[in-house]
Amino acid sequence: MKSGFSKLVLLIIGLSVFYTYVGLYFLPQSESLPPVVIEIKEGIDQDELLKIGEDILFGKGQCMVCHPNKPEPGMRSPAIAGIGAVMYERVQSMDITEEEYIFQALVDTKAYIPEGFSPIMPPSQKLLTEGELIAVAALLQSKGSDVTISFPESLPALRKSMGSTEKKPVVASAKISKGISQAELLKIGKDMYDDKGACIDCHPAEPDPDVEFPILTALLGEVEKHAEEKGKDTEEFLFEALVNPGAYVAEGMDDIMPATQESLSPEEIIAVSAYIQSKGGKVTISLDSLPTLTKELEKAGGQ
Amino acid sequence: MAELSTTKGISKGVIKLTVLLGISFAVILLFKPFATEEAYRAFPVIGSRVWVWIIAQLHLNFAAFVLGVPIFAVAMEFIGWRKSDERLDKIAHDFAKLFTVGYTITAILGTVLLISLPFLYPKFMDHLMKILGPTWWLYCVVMYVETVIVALYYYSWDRMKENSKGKHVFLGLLVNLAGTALLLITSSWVGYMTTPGGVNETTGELVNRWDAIKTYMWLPLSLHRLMANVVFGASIGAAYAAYRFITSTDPEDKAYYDWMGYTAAMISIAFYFILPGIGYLLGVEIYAFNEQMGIQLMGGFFAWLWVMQAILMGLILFFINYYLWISLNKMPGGDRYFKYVKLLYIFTLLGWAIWMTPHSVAVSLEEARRIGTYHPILGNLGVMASKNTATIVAMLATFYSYAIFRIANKEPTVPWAKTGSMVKAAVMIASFVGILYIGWYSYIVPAEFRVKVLSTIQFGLFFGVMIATMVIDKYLYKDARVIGEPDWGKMPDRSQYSLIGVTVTFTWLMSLLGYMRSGGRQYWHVYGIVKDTSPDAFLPTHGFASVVASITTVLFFFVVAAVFWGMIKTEKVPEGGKAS
Repeated sequence: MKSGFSKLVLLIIGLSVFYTYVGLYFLPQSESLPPVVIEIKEGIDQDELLKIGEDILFGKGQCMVCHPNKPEPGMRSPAIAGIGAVMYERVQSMDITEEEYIFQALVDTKAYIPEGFSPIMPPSQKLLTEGELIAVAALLQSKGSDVTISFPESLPALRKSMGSTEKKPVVASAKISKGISQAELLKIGKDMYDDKGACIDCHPAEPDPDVEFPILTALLGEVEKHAEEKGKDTEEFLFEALVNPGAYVAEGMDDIMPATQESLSPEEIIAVSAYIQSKGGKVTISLDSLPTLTKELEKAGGQ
Repeated sequence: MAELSTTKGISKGVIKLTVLLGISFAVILLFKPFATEEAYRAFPVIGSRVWVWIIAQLHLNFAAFVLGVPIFAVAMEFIGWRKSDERLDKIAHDFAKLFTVGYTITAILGTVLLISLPFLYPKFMDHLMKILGPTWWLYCVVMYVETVIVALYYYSWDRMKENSKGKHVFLGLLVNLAGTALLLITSSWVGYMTTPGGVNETTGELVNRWDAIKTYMWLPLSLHRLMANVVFGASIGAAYAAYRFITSTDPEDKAYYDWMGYTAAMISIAFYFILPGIGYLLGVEIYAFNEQMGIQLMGGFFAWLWVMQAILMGLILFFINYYLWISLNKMPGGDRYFKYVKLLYIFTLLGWAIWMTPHSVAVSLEEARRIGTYHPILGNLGVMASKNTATIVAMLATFYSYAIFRIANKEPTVPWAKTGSMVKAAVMIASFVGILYIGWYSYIVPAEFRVKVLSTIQFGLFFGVMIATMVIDKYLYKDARVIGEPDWGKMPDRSQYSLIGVTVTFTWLMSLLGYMRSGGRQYWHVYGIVKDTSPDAFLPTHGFASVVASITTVLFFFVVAAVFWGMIKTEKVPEGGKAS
């Protein structure tokens, strides 16, 4: 009986060790990290842009999961090789530019489905930033056509494509209605900051050596400093900085921040502002601040 | 085993559950884990993720055990009752004994998990309670209901055996209904985390609780778990029988445990054949929720773990085939079929080899740039067209190993015996040719047609052939001449080790697939709603995941061995002695 039991223990441990060995030494060993924003500088060299595009294709974008490099039987999605030439051919009979076609195919993925394929591709803008989308688009164009896409020159064309697919914010402003408690407003503000507004991508909560912009807790200090310099009220200046970010770009920083109203509703901007305020001072912003924000939005819209 | 009275048995179960829940609530009330601004707390040395991973997987393994074994036990009891087969009733009772002990361990592990989660992941658990809190209280109620019914079912076995067997089987059915209700509730939690619904996409606030429960994943996951639990429960039963066989010296005991192991293993494998189809359904729902998640799960970071899965599933088939081929020795007349074993071996081996062929051989970006993503020859085998075909061929070969074993000691006596055998052979050859042809045709059709039409036909053909063969055999071997009765107990120990191999491999596979299902969420606690911002917000290497899977598997069997040991010990209590 003892011998049977020992053999049993050996079998269980032996099989587990064998499976571990296969897992450790027969399979590739890499970790899958959360996506990071790839910094793309203005006026980036074309070769560098194409290299970033290729890295995204194999890495962050996960494009190669469905798009094989060369055509193969039963492929799930069109092959990458020669795709630029195919797209060039297609636009010849259409009333759009090559750039517009590529951007549209990336952001509105159901727009151009080649025959025999299913509309399975998710919208790329959910995963990639504008700069990254341009890098991928340039790479695709390079596969059989002359590369005309560059950063930041192609931004307007990309934004036009994205604008045509953009949906109205899903967050119901009704959720931020009169009488909302400050705690609730701050919670929503945090969610907006972290997710929908994606502010956290450039202004992280903790110092990050890869990010050159002020972190969350430093934002209020920046705002107060600039407000004092300009002789403005902090609250008013914070709204202005959010809805017209190009007006006050800190020295040495790039003007890349999109206007907040492009992704957030006025009530949501109020929530984000209150959240930023909560990270360094007394929270004075509430839904009562809506008229001040509206004024700033009108000013930004008029520029 | 000396029996407790039914009332005492119920009281014992309820007290145990109340004590364990009481401990959890007391700890949570005393230490207030939710009262913190921090989103995470760190577990010492191994970290929070690995701790919760191991405890949750062990809890799941035992939960699968206590949900799967009752299905098997009640089915045996029912058939035994209707056929007046005492052996089946004994096997059912033995299994009922197994799962009653299993409940206590499942509950203890659940308590550890219940305390660990709010302490280590307070913000995430706070969110989960806000969205699905009422289902947790329902879960507690169903746990009490199940505890009472299980105790009633087990402790009333002898009392109801003679005159109230029907009512007792009905009690068993209620045990399974309560178990399925628990499974549905817990699957709704996992379903919400992976394919959430019913909440505001941005704020994560609850919009509709029912929508948060009935997510894309809920029902297919529940069904997949239910089937997997039967496979797992039956394979644990087979392992138990194998262990008793190996350690027994009494020929009568050996014969009984040999038969028990065979019955449990065949039920396990029968349900195992259904799993890929339901897994396919689960995949379809994940794709319907979010294509990117589907792609990531099926072909992205996890692509190589599917190769690992193929290695494990193929090994399970080999263990079973090996067991069945050896089993021919105990069948008088079984030697007539030895010549087919080689053929079945080749088919299983080829199917397995293709099944585990990776699609993309490049393991890094640099390698992909250097040698290309796909191997010029093997790249063609690593696609769905060939893998589906290979899987079915390997499973079909396994089925024929079983079909041969069933008839090995018989000779048909019906007048159409020769024609019947020829029809059976024709069905077999036609099915193999048909499956291979569809596999080849799958290469030249659009992906959508292959996924939606051809794969379904291939699996349909597989099940059709099995049913046709069983039906033909039923009539062909009616009143057949029996060359000799199976010599139960005449099996070498190595055959029993192969049954234990099935159970160990299946347990390891459950750990691996559980990790993959969970890892599909990537850096989200609740996909797209609650981001994982902990230091563990990344998917570890496949090697690391394999180490954790092995640790949980070994720990699981360590506890299972202790349960078996305890049960065997209580059997040896002399008459009139006290039960432990």
